[in-house]
Amino acid sequence: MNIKKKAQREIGPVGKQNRIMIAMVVLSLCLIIVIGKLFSLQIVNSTGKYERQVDQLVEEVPIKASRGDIYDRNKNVLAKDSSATAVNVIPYEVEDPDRLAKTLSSKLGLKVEDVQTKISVLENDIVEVKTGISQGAAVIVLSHNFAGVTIEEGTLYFEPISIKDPEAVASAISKDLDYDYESLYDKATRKENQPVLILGKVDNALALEIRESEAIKDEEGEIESYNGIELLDDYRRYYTNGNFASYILGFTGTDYSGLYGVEATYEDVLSGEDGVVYFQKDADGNQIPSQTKILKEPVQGEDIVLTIDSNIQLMAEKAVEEAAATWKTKSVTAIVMETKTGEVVAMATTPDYNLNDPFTLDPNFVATHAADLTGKTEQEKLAEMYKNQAVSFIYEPGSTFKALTGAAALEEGVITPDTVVYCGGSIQIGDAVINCATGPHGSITVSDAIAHSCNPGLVQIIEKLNPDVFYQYVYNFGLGETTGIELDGEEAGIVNRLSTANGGVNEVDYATFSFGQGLAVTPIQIVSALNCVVNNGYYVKPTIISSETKGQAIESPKQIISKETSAATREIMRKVVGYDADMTALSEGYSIGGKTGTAEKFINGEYSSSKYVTSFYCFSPVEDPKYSVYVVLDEPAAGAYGSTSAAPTAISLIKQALNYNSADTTLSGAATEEIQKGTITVPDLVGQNIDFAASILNEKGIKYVVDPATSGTMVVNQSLPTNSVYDPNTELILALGNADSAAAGTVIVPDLKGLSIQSANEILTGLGLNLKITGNGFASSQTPAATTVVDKGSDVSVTFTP
Amino acid sequence: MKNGKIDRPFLIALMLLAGIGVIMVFSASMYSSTISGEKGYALFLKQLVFVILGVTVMGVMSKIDYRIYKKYYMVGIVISVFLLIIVLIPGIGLKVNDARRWIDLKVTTFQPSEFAKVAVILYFSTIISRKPGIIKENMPFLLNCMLPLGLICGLTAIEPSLSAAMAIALAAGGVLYFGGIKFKLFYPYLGFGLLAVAGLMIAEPWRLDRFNVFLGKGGYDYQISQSLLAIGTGGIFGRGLGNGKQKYLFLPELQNDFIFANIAEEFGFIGCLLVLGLFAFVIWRGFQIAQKSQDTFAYLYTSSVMMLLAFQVLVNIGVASAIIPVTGMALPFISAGGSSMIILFAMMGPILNISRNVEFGKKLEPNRKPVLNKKKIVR
Repeated sequence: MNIKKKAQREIGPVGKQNRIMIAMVVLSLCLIIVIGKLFSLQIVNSTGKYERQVDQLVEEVPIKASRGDIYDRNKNVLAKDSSATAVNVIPYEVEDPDRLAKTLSSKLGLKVEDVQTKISVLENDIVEVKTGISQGAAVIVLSHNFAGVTIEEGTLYFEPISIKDPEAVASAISKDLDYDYESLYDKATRKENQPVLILGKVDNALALEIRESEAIKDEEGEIESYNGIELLDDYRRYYTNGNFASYILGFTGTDYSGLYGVEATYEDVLSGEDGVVYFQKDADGNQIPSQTKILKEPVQGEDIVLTIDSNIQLMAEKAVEEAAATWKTKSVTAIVMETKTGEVVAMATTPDYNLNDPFTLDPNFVATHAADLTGKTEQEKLAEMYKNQAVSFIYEPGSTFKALTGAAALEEGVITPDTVVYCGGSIQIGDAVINCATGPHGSITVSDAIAHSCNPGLVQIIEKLNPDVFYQYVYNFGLGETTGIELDGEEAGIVNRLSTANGGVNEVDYATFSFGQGLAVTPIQIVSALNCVVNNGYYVKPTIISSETKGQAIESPKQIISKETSAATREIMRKVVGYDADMTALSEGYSIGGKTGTAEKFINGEYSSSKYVTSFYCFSPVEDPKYSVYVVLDEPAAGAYGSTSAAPTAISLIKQALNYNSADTTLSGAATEEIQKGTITVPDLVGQNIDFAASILNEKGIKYVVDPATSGTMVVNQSLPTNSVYDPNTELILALGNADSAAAGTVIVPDLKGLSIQSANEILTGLGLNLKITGNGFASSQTPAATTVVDKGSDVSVTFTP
Repeated sequence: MKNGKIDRPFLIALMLLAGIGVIMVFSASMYSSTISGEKGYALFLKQLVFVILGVTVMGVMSKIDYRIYKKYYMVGIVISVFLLIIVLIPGIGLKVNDARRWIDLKVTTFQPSEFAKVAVILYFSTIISRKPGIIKENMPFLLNCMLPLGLICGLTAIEPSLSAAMAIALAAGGVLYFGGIKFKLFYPYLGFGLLAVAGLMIAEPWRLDRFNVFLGKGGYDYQISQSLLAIGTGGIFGRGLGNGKQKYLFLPELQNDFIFANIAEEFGFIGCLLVLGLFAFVIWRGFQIAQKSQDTFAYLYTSSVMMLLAFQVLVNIGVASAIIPVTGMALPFISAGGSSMIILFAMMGPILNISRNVEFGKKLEPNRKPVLNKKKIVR
């Protein structure tokens, strides 16, 4: 009884069970709610979560593919990537902005104001200002509606770049929160703490010099900072000789893509494809090393080989310069083409421009093209300068066209070389009179009429041809449409069939067409057409890219005229040279045929009486031509004719080309000598590999020695300043060092045991050492051993085992 | 009586939870430790050491007759009050994020409120098992129960640590509930407690902010949104151990209050169910022990410890999954902890000892058996 009573007063077993049951039911319900919520979060509504997480976690950064090099047919380098420096400034770390702005603007040629703007950029991230802000205070602070001021979770943040009036913000909030004004103002005007690009593609030597000059030292003379200067690696396109083959090569823009020349037309091949590296970063923006992956390996750009022969190109450039100087021309263009293949071995135009400094107008260009440039903007002037005359200059070909008329008539059988025509000094066609500039010749054979450039004779020849047939020949010779050479800005020229009302051809137009009037051509078109005539009638498409780069069989050339017609026309063109005493003298000892051309320029709808285009096409040897050479002078001085102005240049050039032994693949001593007659500028070699530096210097003909007191693989200093004019009597002294030579020195080889290839590479690269891999898996042994002291840039061979 | 064996399933489930905790703390803290310049395994080692210490303490206590603790019910409460007062003194109490909740013991830190939870359960279980009458009448109830509880909860709340105060109140409420208190005696205090909480919310606006954020009234909680992101990305199977991404500083203190988010991210819904299942099993098993225990003290102590455990688990997971407003509550046995881990295991020690006298046998009428047994022993 007693026990029972006690049990009643305490909680009984049944009560126990009930209370536990109730507790468990309640807890089970809670558990179900939790599971339900998790089910909803993880299964039902999980879409998009992953993406949101990736978004805050992942950063994709492109890996620049290196650009392919450009070589001439003998594998001399014409354009190459080289290392340069991007000068950046971290505004937050700038201590003396005035001095920095002055240094940067003077050394880099920038406007002081632009530099000042860049080095004082405000922070565009969010700066934490103060925590523990109560709801009430927050309402007051936010009531000002300041842009760039936010409060989240009781924390005040500033976004300095959005704050328009930092004084107002600081003073208002300082009152609201009873907080230090200075501190608020400092944070509201916080500078950007990421590098801001000032200028890319800066010479390594200049960049280092700038940084040294901005060093800020502490009392003990240790460098504390570089006044915010941060130097980053950059690439630059290096053209071995600035003005050399500028129209062929072209250059790259600031975004490193080709803008002109083969740099533009072969952009896809040269540029390769950038890769993508994928970084994961933590909430503070630090990269997480173990989570860095290369998503896409960059496809490195491929090298291309041109058909250009640097030696012949050099001869051509020199030749056009001489012609330009003699005849005070607007421009002179020369093309040297291999007859059988259509490969362009030289293509030179003067004036030209400096590929290493393409955004500066060439003074010579400005002087010769003044009339064309008036009223144009700087950009338009530059665009004008970049035009490659060899493919974009259109003009009436004049008498050089007579060889085509003659070849077509011979091929059609309407004449033979001995057919006689009559030149009475002029010929009446309809109501027009066509005069002979060289006659009257009286009775004359067709071949002599062409050789003497007799217009009435040519009129009589063309009248024997059906216009439909003749126009077809003109098209077959490649006129009226672009040749398709791998260069930018090519023009199609104009071949118009001017018809009368009844559908026929206007007889005066047709008559003048015979001696090259009433159509427009480009130099590359005319040299290709005439090359066809002398190449046994085979038209080969002109090209500037070697077949090894194109990697495709050359299109089988189209035969336009027969071998016999070609031989007969070649003999006629031999007479052109033979009938002229000066040309005969010039070509002494060589078998050369050619055709002159002198045409009045067609300006604003009428023929100019003072502006001419003179030209000369020649080929050699006549029996089995090897080269076609075409020289055209735009607006030579008064008194110039094709025979007097263009012919000497062309004949001299073809002789040089023939003399030149193409087996000699490096620049001949003579060629080097010739380069040295011009001005040579000293290249920036600091930071370059010594082998590369040596190849550039050899190419430019700069004498150099390596400072015997130094050793290493990289140029760290050069005795002559970059871009100075090289004096051939001096010697350039190169000081060598190793990678990271600015802080050259030695490092201690780390212990790599157990590391993956990736980790080992990261560590070694960080120390300036190179990894040489054997096997795969994890590092098991290494040479040199850990703790060995080695020079930076040394190799560390590591054996990896699974 | 002491020959019985401890309840193995209960012990194994606890050890599994602690094991999961050690691994997850490693996974969660690896990156943040490295970043802050420590070894990546620093917190893992610490967690392992404290789990071993805790298990040792639990093992020793499982051999000590639980009735001995009843003698110290008053000592416990006095020490609690003393510690809760000295923690408020600058120089002794460690100030972290504007709150003084920790006493720095140099080797580790110590939270008086953790100790107070045990002391309160011990105190209430003892007095109610000795004098069941005090929870039947107003004055004795007020003097013996509610005043000491009010003092302790009040001291905890001004640290401030509202969540700890609520946990202590819940633990005490648990004992009263399992002790068979009449609800009408309790209602006024419940009302008073709610008013106190409301008052604290108004006094400290950030609490109200959190509540508003929870209700979706503007604002945005960075931790919660990151926690939901972690849980959501876990999906069904999770990303796999160590592959979670939120540990990269996106979710601060991941190894502490938000360890469940890490589990959810790396082991998915399946992993969550496993952890929840283990907790559910421990609590169910604990209630079984309580129900079958020999005396009222054992019953009250065990059931209210289980209640407290369940409360902490539900609050922790509820916060991580945005079911309830943000409040700081560690996930028992799993969150990184030092002294609190030892206290947790110490709380389980007496339950293991109690389980030695409990027979899990037949399913039917298990409630009768202990009573019958007792009678037999008495005779």
